[in-house]
Amino acid sequence: MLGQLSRRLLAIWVLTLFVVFGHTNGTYAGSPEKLRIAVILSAGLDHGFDATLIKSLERVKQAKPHGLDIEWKSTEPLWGDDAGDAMRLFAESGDYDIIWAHSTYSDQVKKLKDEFPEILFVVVGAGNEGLGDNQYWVYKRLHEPAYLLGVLAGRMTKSDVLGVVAPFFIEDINDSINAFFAGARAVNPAIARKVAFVGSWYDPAKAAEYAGAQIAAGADVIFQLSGNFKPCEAAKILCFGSFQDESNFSPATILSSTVAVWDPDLMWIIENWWSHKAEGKPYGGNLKEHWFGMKDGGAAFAPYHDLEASLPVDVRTEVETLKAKIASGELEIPVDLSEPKSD
Amino acid sequence: MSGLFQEAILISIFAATLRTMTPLLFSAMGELVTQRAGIWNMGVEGTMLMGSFIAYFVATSTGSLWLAVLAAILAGAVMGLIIAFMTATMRVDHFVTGLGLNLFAGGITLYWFQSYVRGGPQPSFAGFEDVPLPFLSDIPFIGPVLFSQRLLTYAALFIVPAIWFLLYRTRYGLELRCLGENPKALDVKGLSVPVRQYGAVMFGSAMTGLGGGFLMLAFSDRFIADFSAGRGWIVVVALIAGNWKPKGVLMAVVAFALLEAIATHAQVVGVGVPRQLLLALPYLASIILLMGVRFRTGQPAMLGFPYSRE
Repeated sequence: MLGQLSRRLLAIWVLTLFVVFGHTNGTYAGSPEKLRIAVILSAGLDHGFDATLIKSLERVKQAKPHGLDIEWKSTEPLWGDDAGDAMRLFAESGDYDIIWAHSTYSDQVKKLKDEFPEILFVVVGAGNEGLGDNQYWVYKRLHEPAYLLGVLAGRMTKSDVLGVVAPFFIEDINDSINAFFAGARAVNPAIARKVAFVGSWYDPAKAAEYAGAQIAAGADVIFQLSGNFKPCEAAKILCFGSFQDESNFSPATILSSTVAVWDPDLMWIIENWWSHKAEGKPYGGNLKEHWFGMKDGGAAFAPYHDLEASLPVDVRTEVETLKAKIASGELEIPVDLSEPKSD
Repeated sequence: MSGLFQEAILISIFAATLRTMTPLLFSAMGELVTQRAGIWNMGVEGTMLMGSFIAYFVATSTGSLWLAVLAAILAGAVMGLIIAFMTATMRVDHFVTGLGLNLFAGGITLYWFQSYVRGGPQPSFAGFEDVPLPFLSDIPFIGPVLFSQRLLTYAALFIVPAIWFLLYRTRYGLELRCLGENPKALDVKGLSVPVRQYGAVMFGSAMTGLGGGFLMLAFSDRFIADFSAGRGWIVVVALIAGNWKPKGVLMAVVAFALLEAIATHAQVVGVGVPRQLLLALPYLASIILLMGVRFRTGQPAMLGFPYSRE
């Protein structure tokens, strides 16, 4: 009788173990065919930071890595507890494999990642904490294309004064500003810097005033990281855009822009998810920043469009040569996170 | 610090002051009329945002900047109509109405904008340019500061004496001030309180719509969510700091705009002051101004109290 009971108990234990572990690892049996991604946006689709991600998602969907049918759903811009609540809703729905939180959200992920160990969480950019396990930390450094913009600016300026208008003093903005001036000074050591932080992500009017102040201070080329090229048009000077090709805002003044390309970041995340789901490898989220530069297709340099003809051939050739050197790994642009200051 | 005192920088600071104060002044003078009529409109931010979006939409879809200005004024007036209906007719709490309207404007403008651009690149427009006045703009120093501005900036400078005249030298102005101090007096004379409040709020909000429209058409090449970026709240502060008087409100707006222009240029020329302090400077000044007027308030006695005959 007791032996029969023990056998029954053993059978129940085996069944329980199968249900618990067999379910979570059940994907070993077959490769997944679908990948569903929930995207928490931080700025909105009218901002380059979010718009470039969606463009990359569309390209990756077409590429169908591992033959996956990729779907995604994005939120309106959410922050703090609202973002955390949205992540929880996505996670509890059971419909999503990856939750891509497109900015500083590691505080929210920290509360969820152990509760949903099968979901791969992604956080992006400066201000996050590397949590490892099922949280991956994507970083976007655009210092390499910013260096090339600096070379262009250094060659095109007549006053030898360059301006940069940026939203905030943070690591993944400082790197671009410093690289921009490094590029400019590499070809024109006389360059004087004018730097301004608007103190807001979303204030084009204020950004215009800072650009205007830089023009008054002698700047004749401006790297605008806060959007708004109206002062460049009024002063008829060259400007550079950031994060996406912004030429459409002012074709007559925007010579080029840094461009964020998230395709390699997405592929990297999908590979990690695939390794876990299809091959049973444990997640191993990175604890330190991880980025793809120009060499890996993670950063780019926008075309000159209508202004190409106005650019001297030797300057164009010089920039193309440097671009090729960066792409091949021959030229490495150092990451300088120090505080950019006006001279 | 000496970099700030170069002639080119000083000209730029004062010219920027006039530019920056223009949208604030339109809105503040309009809201002065509204508040003197007893309606504490907290929806200035949302109204300005609505004016900005409508101006953007009309400018990019028709190419006409003056049509965009007109549309922004109308959009402001419609927002005023909503506020007036809620406060003067429905007698809803003024603060709740205004705050609700701000949330409404934030949501609806973003929805309209996204429906308009549909995920594609947003259309841009060529905004207002400076209109240097012949001969006057050639005067050294003063010319580039005062006489090389946008047309609406010149108009804004005239709006202050116009509002003063309206409030203190016309019968309608007397009635308006009476609305804020003792609306019952008007009522017993057989004059309609709600009708006058509707007029005051719609005028004030139309002016705020104009301010929002100017902010878009003179400063920007794009629309983004929450474009007005808190300027509506600065207007509310300016009214309190200016003690509900045209000259006081003008001084408060000028002080804010001047400090913002100084802070902007100080960061650019690289003075030895932490940029965080420079960014906070106009707001710190606003708080100090508010503290200064705490004990000498000229706040209309019935401001914010829904009027009821009973």
